[in-house]
Amino acid sequence: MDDETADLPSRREFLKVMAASMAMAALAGCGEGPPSEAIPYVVQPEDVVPGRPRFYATATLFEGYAQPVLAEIHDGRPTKLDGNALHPAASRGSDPFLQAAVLELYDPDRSGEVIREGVVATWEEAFTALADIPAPLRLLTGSVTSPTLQRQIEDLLARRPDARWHVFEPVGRGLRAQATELAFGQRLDVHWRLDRAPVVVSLGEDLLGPGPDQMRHVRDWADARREAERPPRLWVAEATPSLTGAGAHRRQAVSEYRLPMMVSALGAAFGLAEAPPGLTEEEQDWIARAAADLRNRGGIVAVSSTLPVEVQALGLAITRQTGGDAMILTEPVAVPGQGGLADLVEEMAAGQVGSLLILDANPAYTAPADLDFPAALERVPLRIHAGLYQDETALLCQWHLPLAHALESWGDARAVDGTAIIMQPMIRPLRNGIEAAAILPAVLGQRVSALDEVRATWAGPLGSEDAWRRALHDGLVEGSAPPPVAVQVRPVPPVPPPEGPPQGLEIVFRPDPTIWDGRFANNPWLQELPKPLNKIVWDNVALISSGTAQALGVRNGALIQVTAGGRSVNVPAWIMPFQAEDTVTLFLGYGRRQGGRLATGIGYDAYTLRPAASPWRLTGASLARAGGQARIAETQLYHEMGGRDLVPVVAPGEAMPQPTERQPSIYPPWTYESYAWGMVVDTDLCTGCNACVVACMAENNVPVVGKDEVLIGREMHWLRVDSYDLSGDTRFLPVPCMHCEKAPCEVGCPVNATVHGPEGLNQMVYNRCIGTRTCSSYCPYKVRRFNYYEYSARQPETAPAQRNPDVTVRGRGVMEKCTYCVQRINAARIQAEMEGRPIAEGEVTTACQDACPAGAIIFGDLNNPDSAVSRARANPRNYRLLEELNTWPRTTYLAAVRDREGQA
Amino acid sequence: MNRPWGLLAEFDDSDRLIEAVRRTREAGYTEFEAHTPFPVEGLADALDFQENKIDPLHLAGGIVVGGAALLLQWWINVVDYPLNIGGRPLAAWPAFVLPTFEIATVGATVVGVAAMLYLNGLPGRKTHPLLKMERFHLASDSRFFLSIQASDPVYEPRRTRAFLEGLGPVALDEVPR
Amino acid sequence: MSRLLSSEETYETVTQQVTDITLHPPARRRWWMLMALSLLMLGIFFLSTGWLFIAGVGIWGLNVPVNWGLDIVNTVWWVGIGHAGTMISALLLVMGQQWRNSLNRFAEAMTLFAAICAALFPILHLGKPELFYWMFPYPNTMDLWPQFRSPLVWDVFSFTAYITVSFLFWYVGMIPDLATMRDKTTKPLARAIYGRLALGWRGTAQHWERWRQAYVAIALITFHLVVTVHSGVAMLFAGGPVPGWHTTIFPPFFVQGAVFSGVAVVILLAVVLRHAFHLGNLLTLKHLDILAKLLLATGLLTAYGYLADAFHAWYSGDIHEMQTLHDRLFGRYAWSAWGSLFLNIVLIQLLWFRRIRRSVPMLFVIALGAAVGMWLERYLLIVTGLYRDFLPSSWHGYETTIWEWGLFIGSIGLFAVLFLLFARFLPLVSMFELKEELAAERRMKGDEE
Repeated sequence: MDDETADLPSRREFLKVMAASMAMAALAGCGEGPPSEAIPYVVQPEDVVPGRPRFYATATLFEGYAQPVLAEIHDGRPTKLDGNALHPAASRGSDPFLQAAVLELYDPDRSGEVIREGVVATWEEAFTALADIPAPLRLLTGSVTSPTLQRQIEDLLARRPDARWHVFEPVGRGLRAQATELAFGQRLDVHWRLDRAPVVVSLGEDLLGPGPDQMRHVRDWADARREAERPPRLWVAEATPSLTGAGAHRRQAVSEYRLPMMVSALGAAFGLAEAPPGLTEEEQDWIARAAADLRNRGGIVAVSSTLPVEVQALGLAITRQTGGDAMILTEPVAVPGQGGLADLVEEMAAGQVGSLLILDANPAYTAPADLDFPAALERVPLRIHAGLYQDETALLCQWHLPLAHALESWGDARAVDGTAIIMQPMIRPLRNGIEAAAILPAVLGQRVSALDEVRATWAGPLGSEDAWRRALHDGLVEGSAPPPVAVQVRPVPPVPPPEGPPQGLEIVFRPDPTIWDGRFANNPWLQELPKPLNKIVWDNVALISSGTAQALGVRNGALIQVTAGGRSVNVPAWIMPFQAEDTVTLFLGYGRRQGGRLATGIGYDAYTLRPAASPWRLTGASLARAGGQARIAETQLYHEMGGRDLVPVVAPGEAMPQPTERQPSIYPPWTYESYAWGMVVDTDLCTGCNACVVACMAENNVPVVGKDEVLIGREMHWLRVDSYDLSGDTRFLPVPCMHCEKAPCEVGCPVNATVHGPEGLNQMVYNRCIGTRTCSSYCPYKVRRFNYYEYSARQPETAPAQRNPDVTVRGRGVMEKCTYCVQRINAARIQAEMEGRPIAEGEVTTACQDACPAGAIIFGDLNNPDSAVSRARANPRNYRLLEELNTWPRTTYLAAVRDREGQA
Repeated sequence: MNRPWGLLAEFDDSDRLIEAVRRTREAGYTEFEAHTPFPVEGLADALDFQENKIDPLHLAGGIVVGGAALLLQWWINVVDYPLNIGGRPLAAWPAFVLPTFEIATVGATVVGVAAMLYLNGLPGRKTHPLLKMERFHLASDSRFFLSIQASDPVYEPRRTRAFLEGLGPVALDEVPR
Repeated sequence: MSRLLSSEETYETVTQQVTDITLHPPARRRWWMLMALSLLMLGIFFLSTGWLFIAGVGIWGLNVPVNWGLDIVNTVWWVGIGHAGTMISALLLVMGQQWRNSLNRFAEAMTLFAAICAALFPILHLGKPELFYWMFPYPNTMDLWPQFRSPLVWDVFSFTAYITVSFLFWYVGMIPDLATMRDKTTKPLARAIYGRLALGWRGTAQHWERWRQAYVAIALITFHLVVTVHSGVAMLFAGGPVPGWHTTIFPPFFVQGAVFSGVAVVILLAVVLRHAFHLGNLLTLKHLDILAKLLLATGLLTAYGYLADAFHAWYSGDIHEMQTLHDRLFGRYAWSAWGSLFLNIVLIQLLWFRRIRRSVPMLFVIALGAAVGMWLERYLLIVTGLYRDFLPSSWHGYETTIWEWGLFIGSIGLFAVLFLLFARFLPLVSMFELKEELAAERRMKGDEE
């Protein structure tokens, strides 16, 4: 974080600057429409330099957990978020949700008004209604980690004895807390330290996949692998392919119902359980080898939090034997509520609830359909919903209160590791929303500001002004993470005997990898973010195995009817390699009925099949052809390499077979006197998380084109992550522009619109481009993107506020592509020239590099032999993509590392 | 001056015209012309017309214009605005060949056509007296004509008319100015 | 050489017949019907172009990787057609082949109009068509110049040179006949216009001699243009590293394919003109027979090109080349491969038979097949090169839209309108060259007797 802190204001200046940026934000245009009179600075703030961004630390929220953020503010507008490197939960990189949160801030569909019975009302009226809220009061929230909200809720429950607090997360942490209670006698959070585990055995647990833990897991995993003599091994058994399985040493497709048996068998190897009958030879071999690995090297057994508690407890018990310090247990970071959704619905349906206050949750959409939440809701006399969007739930409530976006809010929250963050507003609220912390006390008749509430919560540890400012400046409260808990293992209860093969097919439910449980459905960046494994955008599909597809006689995109538990839904079928036989994967989050123009009307709603009792799997399902074909847009149609070795693999410590010296050229070489920028991407560390893709869009004003244009093949991502399915694993290849020194594209351009710069960049001159597209035809890597329409004008009306003012917005008919974030190079150059020194190593980072939690992207000056990128170039794993074309790419790759030992 | 432009004799056969031309030249006339609807073999020999200016002019046009094109490309790429294009050398001679050739062909053609028209005195500044003649339209159809201009030193109205009549034309007219 | 024209033809009948087409149009109604159809298609051209300018090039089905589709297919096809006109006219003139005299005028017109159609597409296909002139070197305040290493710039010069030189060749060759038109017309306006166009031509021996020198020299130059222009077009593909494009055989392969498609269109036009204007005596079956042989010969060259191209892909052992070869024959666009193989190679084998060469309907069908077949081949070469190139991750198909077809049909309309105007107002057949041929035949006859 050294480079970012350099740009931070001193703490003395901090509040002054905040006030100034907020004043500018007011000018930038709030919900009230264009200002009638412009107000110039009366006194120019001392250290605001127009055109130079400022950086502030805060947090965005994901399932209630704080995502540590360092926000880039241009003239009062947040334009780009990155992980706050000072914070232990985000010490490197970020994830797609964090990256995309800035666009949510500017979402024009975000709720902006208090609504009562469909009519705009005032906050005054809302506060009056809240103060008179009838008993018995029920409070329903998503997962809560905020100490302030926790304090307020406790206060509320103490002063309103009729009140009860229910918590519901559609995805959340499953039964993890109950499992720890069974295994250790108390509810705990399990923190996996993947950098300390020589062997990781995952049974259905998506450690590296999307979710609140992804950032730290990917970071730790990468640290363990980076240039390791003996890289850690990952054994994955799963029903449906995940990003964890993609990088597995050996992956085993196992039906969900068989996973408990697998865990039992593994437990048996450690004398903790009875070996179950009925495992196949292949499965037994997998177990035996994984167990041997665990025994020899030690490591963790991560069992999916969606499996039965006894199964998880067994996994925890094995890990207690083998895991060493790779498993850390702490008090739960999220505050447990007093009840869940099912018991609340029961009370509601029985007419025992006088009023329901729903805070930042959307149960009318996310509740399992068999609970029939909407019907129960109708029996509640007073229903109040507070949320970011006027969603399905808002529609069923008498009152809807707009919440302020995290980036507009004062607040606090804990990250997954428990370290708290004081959230500070990056901009004055664009709309009429206020923070949850300012709403809750209104039930007790209190009118408070969120800032005062947060300060009151932290009056102890951050009582002094210095401590408070330091917490704001650093974006974390030092030492606020819960300490590790020492536990005694209790005897492991026996795993319930396997129920035997289920009747019919088995459905497993998964959160959507890009829009999660549906909460990000109105975010165009995330909608157009390719799902990591099948690269589908703007839709959800039902994954089936090729065997199931053959039996059913369907191909990709065919509509099939999934029937289970008396309900059915029509879904597009999608054949997925590594999918367990007779398993159908349904993704949550689509089929929204309300909640934004982009969110509604696309995909199918998997919640309608989801049972409350067993929210993650459903047996006895049947499939039938529904007739018809869905138009599914993908950004990558082929996932085979077609005989090419695009992501080569070497054994640990081994070099690439070819020489790393590039082939000669008949042309005399060009010399690059000053700098020679280059990039190296380590394919061994890339887990395919997509954070870089969103970061690139945010940094470079990359437009979203929509499903129809993706179907034609016109997506605009400057950086894409290719995925290739091989027989044993899935390999990811992030592809930015190669900045070839012998660039075919430059030779093709008739008007010098793409030329080579003096520092080796392959430059695109937008205002010289006339759109012949020759460069793209000639580009072997197909990294060039063409504005077939004026995509930048097709963005939501508020999107321009997010744009990076340092990057040109491209118009119709011009080519564009990755620039190595040339605007950042130029900013660094200007700074360095002002200070009369050369650009230092590490001073220029690309957006994708900053975003990568694995640190797989290395950028810098190849003329400097000591730079990280030069050292990476010298790595014996270094290779050039399509070396045979002799384009001398500036972007090179490091081969993936796999040891073949013990694979099938 | 009331002097006519000259005399115009019409023949119905190309061989007869060639014979007439030969005899006219032998009679010492210099300012006379043969008009035919198509190029007639042997006519130029009969006229002893041996000009060869067009081809060299074509060649000169091609070399000068093509050379200028080559020089321009070199100057643009090496002197005026050197750019690193695909790591290729600034003076990319092989790449310059095709534009040079194409521009050279235009130069050669335009210069050649211009030379042909200029030497032929085309287009004339005003309508040529012959084109006003009633039967001269057959010169581009099926008949062959011989015209002798009054400005010829040997021209004498009566004698020349008699001479032409002696060549056996199907018609003989005086061409007014 | 045997006689091509009937001994009944005289200088007068040639003049009469050819000038009558213009001065006393024999088939006014038929002409108007054809013109109406062509104008309709020209309307489609303007509609397609108008919407293209308003909405942008996104109305076509293009994407990345298939950056080029029908736009460039049509360019290559049109410019290829033009080449036969030049070849028949220029090469055969230089080689002293008399039979070209009945064909060269309209073949040259075809060249010019086809080249105009061809030149439109590269302009229209630009993302910013209004800035096409940036590809020309002209002094400007920003000191920006074209990039001369780009095959596209070579094509800019090729097309410009080709259109300029072809026009001059056509026009210079027409001056004597324009003089005939001037002399034959009775209408003052027509006489004035033809008179201006004829530049005062009086057919003197000196006129003819100098004209002959210039004409033959331009013919030689134009013939070289045939080779270089289509080689330049081929370089647009061969110059990039794209599999299925990056091969040295492309320039000659493109040139002979161009002549092949052009001969086919010459046959089509000859048959139509012959029928429409009763020119059977000037455009005889012998002419068609020779053209058919030429079609067969160039078709066999095309077949050799296909073979050599496939062999090179196989012989290279390059995985990308092999992939493209496989995709061409069995991939998504295999219809274009098998279609062009059938139409360009199999069907023309019928022309070995004299009876078929002299059957006007059969010849028409086979020539039409070759024209369509060459279009399919251009489609094959361009689209299958792009749609699956190096990285399987970026492979993507291409589907045309009605706007691309609209522009293609519209360009045919543009060609037809130009050609019909030419047929109506300018001498369709070179009269003076036919008369020269008659004179030569008479002399031969005289020698025999």
